[in-house]
Amino acid sequence: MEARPTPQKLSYRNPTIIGLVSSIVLTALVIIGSRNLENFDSALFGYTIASVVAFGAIAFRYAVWLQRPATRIYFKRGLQLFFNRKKFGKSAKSAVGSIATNLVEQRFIFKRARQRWIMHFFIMWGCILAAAITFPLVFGWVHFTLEGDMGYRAHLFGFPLILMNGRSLIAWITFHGLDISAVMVMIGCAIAIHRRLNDRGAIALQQFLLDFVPHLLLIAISVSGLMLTASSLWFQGYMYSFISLSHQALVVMTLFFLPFGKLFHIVQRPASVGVELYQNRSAEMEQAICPRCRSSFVGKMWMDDLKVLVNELGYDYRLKNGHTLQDYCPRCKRVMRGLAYAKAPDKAEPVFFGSRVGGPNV
Amino acid sequence: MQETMFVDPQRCIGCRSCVAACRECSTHKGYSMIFVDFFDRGESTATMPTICMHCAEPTCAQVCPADAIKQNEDGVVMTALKPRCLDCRNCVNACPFGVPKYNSAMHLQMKCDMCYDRSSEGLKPMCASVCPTGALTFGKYEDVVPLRRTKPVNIHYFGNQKVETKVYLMMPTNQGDAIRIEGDSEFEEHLSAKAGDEASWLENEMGETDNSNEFRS
Amino acid sequence: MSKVENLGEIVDKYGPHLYDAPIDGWLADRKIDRAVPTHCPYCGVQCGMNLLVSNEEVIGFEPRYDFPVNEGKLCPKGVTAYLQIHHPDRLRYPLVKKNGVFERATWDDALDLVVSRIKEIQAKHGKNAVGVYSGSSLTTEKTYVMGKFARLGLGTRYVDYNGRLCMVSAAAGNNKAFGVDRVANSWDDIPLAEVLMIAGSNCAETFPILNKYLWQQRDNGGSWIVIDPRATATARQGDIHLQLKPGTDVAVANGLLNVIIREGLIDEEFISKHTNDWDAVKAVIDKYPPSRAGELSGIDPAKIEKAAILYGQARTGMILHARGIEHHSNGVDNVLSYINIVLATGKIGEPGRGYGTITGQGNGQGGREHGQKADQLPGQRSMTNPEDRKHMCEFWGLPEDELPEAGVSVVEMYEKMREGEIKALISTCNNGMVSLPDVNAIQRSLEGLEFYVNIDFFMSESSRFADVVLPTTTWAEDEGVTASAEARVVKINKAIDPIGETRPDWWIAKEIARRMGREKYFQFDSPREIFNELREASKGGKADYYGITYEKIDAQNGVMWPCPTEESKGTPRMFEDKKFYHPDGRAKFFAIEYKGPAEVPDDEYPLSLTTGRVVYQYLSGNQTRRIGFLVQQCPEPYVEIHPETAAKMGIVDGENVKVISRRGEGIFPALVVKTIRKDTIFIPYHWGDAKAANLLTNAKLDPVSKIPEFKACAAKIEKIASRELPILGQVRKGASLSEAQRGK
Repeated sequence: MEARPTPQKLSYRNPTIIGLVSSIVLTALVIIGSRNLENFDSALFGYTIASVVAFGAIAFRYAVWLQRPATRIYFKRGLQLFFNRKKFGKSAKSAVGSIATNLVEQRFIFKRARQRWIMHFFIMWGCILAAAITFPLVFGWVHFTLEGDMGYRAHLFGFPLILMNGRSLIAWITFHGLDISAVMVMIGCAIAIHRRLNDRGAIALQQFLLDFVPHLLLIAISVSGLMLTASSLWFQGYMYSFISLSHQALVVMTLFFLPFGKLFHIVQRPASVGVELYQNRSAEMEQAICPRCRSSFVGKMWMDDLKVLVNELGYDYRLKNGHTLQDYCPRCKRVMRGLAYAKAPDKAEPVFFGSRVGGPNV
Repeated sequence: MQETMFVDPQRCIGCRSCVAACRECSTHKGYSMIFVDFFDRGESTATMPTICMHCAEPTCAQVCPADAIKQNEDGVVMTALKPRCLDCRNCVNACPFGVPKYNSAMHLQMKCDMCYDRSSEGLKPMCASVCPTGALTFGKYEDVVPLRRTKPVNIHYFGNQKVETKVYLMMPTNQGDAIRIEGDSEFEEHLSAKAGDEASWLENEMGETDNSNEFRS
Repeated sequence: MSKVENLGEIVDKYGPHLYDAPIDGWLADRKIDRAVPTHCPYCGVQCGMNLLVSNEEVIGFEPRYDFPVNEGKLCPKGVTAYLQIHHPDRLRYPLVKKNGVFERATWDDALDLVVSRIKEIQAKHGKNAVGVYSGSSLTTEKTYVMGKFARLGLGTRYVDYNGRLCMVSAAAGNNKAFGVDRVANSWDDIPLAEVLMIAGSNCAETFPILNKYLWQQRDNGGSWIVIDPRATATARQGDIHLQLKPGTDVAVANGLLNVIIREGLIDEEFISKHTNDWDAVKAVIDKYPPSRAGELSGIDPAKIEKAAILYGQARTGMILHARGIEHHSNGVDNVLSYINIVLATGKIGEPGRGYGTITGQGNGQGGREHGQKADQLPGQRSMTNPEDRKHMCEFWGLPEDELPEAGVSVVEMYEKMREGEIKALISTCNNGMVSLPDVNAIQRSLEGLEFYVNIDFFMSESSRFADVVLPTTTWAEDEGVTASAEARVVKINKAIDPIGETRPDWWIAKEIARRMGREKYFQFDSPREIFNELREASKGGKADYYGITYEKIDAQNGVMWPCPTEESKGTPRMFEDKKFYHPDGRAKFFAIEYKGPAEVPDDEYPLSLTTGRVVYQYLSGNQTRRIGFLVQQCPEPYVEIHPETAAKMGIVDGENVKVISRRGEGIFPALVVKTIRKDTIFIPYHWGDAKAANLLTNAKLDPVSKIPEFKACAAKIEKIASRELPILGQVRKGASLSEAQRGK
């Protein structure tokens, strides 16, 4: 009997609920955080709505993603390992380390290529900076009040925070934070696009919608954002409302693009912390031994999970000798296939005189 | 792409020219994705060249938690998408052919993509370009098969599991439409009385990766 | 004089270091300015390849699909060849040894020193006190210049080349039998042969691209008879494997011919019309029935019968052989005994019917044609033939009494260095400290020299002994022609200008000659001018290049000599008219008795040691032991031992063992394999220092070709008492032992 992989059936019911709940929770937070919309800037209403919808969509997409059997097993096992009481300290340490090297330092991107790391550094920190400034404003969580001649006071969730001099450097940086982030994003995207236009490997693999559109959107947002600043500072608000509307449209498009395109890796990547935890822990535990070459090549827990997963996906790699194909290390799998090939001429007439793989017939 | 790869291990002379040339491709950038393994150097010089067979329903893509492995319209199974790959190595150990490699420092799986920069433009992949004997051949079925005395097979049975591939294995026999991999003991029954399967030290030395398919640094 | 006292420092500075990436790393975004069609610098197949040039740097290669010989195919050496061009170990400026330390010098200072020392030595000891040792990886233009440089520039009779370690036995055998030294067929005949007899060639590893033709032949339904002491990949893929004892080739060939005669498979008409001396051969062959042949060679006589009948009955067939039968003290005999089979069956000069040696070095064929061989003048003319001498003197405008006598072979030259007859040596394109037999003796030769000039682009094991090291160019930085193993003259094209202060060998020779006051014989400024002089010089000779031009080579993808006229397209297949190059137009049989190797196993040294190559390294390894990929695949030499032999001594796979011969000893890890005879061990020879297989080999020469007996000597194996492995592990990933020694 032949085993064939069963197509994965995805259910959209739970993800839809999760998505809706997420949107509702965010809406509630907006209302609470802005003190019943007291601090809410109605000019940013469009952004708020788009953010709420996009947030729900991301939650939906994440929930769909977690339905992949492979993802689910990792997710469950990762949580299980993390909350194992005896090892919690160790797990927390591993997680903190992973967050530092993988998410903050992003050493793995540096290893892929230095230029790539610089590119990603500018785009990522530019976007994080921009998000850190805009979302609290958009949600009405942060607002500023004028005190005296040149004093600005920042408020978080309605609670007053520091007072700063409007002429100070800190104030300048605060008010131009978005311009700085725009420049960073533009530098990063320029590097990325330059690479995509010149690197023969990238040219072969890239797709316009997947690889160019996100960069173009980010650049468009940055440029229109900078134009807003320029318009108000130097051109007495020339075409301000048109630029503002375009900017808003571009931001909304990007937010809606988040769950479906390349940018989904922003929410997906943190999972690498869990994967690393899983790997580190499994390396400490009992190792799976390749039944053929007797070498250990992977943790046993991992191998068992993988076999369950492969089975769940509808594959049946059990061999006659009682082992599952995945029990063997990659090299032995290749050699076993070679040996099956070498044996073939014995089972039937060889096609020609010398076609025994092990050596000549004579 | 009407062309595909034809692998004929019998012709393989073990020169690893393909392994060296694989690095030259613009999408590989110095990383080789091909394996040439001795069956058992103690017994014979015979070697098995392994490239990605490009399964019709790739196990590697199914077991990927990040959905990072994609098959393109030509049926070529691509290297993991860089932004997505989490370096979990599920694909490395699930693949029935032992093909995907991983680079932990780069958090990246890497595998043969048929030199997509070349094959998508009608050029031969690097390995098939340089292979001295034609153990790795790239071409259209109707161009390659009539020139050979071996039988192209693109169905593997691993136990009960049928795996259909885009790439053909050239069998040195004229019977059967599939190759069956049932266990691990064929070589001893067949050619030797040697106990144990420890690879010769030379086998452990060679290649770009260790036996778990991790790139040696 | 020239001792190496500071090996560690030299290795630190000049390598071998491993380098494994294009000059700026593996980038795919450098703009490619041009793709230069050229050929691989390594073996005699001379595969075509395109070098990719970006900003005057070679950054990679692209297969040259349109070159008919290899159609884009390359072996791993060819794939990584471009990595040597910008290798950090490249010598970039002249070096002069002062107080045992190499110091940077200007070209003027270095060349003036060379010239003054040579003049001084020649004035004191005579012109012949200086020797020139050249190589066959040079372009033909350079080999022509090196021969002329020695004889006309320095006036010494002592010039020879490293092809002496390659296929001279075949050259001598071919000259004796056919009157000309060239492979008789182009490779295109291989697929047309029903049966291939491949003697002493592990072409899967040594000529990988030749396997393209072998498998075309197999696809056409052909079969192979492989004669080799090891079950190599070629032997494994073949149909009949005659696994003989090293050095017993004559017995096998005579046995094969005996069966062919017995079965009436000879071509009487061909023999009577086109050959001489058949009767003498027949009389000798009668003494070698398969039973005796099998006994001498250790092969099952039934297999010999089967092989003989397979080859004899086939309508078409070719015999190919290589170093395995040539590297013997009776190498010429071995070659002639196989030629006897070819002539007796008349399988020559027709499609799919032929014979040839598989020449080793890139320009092994071209390098032995134009006057750097001790006994030859350009165009395969003879140094001892008065007419040939007169012709060349007239051509060069040289007074006849100024042309020196014929010289001696390179091994004899090194003997003369030890004896003090040769006091100074200029060597280029070779590395005797790895490639010559009995390396201990070679070291004494170099240490005894008063003055040693070495020309190379990497610091080789031999360069370390030099007083002056002159940096030359790699193949990518100069143009010129080479003749591949099928005598196809192909053109190496220049990809980039010489890097650093390097200069091509022809420029160095010309400059030394100029400073010696001999500039009138060296009036050229480019390879093209040299080639045109060479064409004229070869006109009327056997290797007639007159009709070959750079343009014709480009248009035809190579030209096979002889090509005597401008209209001629060259000669892919020799002897099509059944006319051979002896004065009477007949080929000659030679009756060969079996003698066996000079040193046979005995009680003290019970094993037969044979040496050879691996696919990842090239010759003395000076070029390939620096390329990371190649070193990773084969980091060090090993000794192949049969499991039964190993078990008797309690040796396990991977264990370091001591291999000892009457000349030296070395420690090698054991590779326990069933692919070798029980009475034979094998070591690949590409390494130097304590890892040199040639510490063990026998320097006994063939009386005719003067080739040393690399392929058979008596040896024994000893277990190392301590279980600790002193070398393995440390050196495993390194390029050479000297690096590990530096660490200690």
